[in-house]
Amino acid sequence: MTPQLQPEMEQNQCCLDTTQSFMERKTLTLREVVQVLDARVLTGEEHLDSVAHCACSSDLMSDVLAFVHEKALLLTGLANTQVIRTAEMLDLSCIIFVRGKQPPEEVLELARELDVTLLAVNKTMFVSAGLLYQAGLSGTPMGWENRREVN
Amino acid sequence: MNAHEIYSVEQQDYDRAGSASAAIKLLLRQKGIDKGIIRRVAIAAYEAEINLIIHSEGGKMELTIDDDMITLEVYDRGPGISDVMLAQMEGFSTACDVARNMGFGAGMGLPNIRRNADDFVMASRPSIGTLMVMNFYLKPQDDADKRRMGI
Repeated sequence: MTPQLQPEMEQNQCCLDTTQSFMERKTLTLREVVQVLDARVLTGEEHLDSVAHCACSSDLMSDVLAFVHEKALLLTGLANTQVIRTAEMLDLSCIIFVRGKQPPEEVLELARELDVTLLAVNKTMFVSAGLLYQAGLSGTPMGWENRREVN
Repeated sequence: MNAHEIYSVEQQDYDRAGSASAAIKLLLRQKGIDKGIIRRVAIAAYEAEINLIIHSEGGKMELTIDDDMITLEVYDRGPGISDVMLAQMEGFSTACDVARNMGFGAGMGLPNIRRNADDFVMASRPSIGTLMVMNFYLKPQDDADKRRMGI
């Protein structure tokens, strides 16, 4: 093998590993998510059997709009109506408020109206994301090619 | 199928932020537009609406649906952007604290719009205002390309 070829090989290897680990990751029902995080259900009790395929955590809604797929859970410490609107635009069905945030009533109302399940957790974002990852849930795939996959 | 709607967005109207985009999304859904396209229009419209609220002195969003494409024109009454190229750079932002507290102002808005639209043009003049036009093709890109080239 010539030295010039090595970087390409390494890159391919890296891609393969990512795909494999992504395939191995599993989906979780929202009921399982509630158990794993010891979460409180704020709205959408009736949707706990629906399935989350991946998750992302961010307090920046513009980043969420740029990176996130549907069927993803959103973990955030931001508790205002813009989070629910962002979920609406992306067809996200579940938001988890971390760091013990209790969203105001207007947020709960909008979530009920739009059928978004809201959970609240008394843990930091890091720990919440870690627990979900440990339970087998993967992160939302990132990268330009994935962002255009929605087409 | 064809439709033309105009939505007004007022300066600093944070409480209603996202309502015009939600209305656009609902209309597209009623028209039976492809889900992936709806999602791209919704993300671009939402970012544009947030921009109008945060940065402009008020403006309008004009949605046109015809057989081949969806066009979204967003224009405002000022104050205009002095450096349009700089404003489109990922990470560049002049947003105020209120916007940042809402989860915006990360400098991702215009890049997000450009990424989701099939065509995107923007023009601005300080003290006059800003105009953005986005096209979203409803038919395969190849056909659209052919049409643009007059074939």
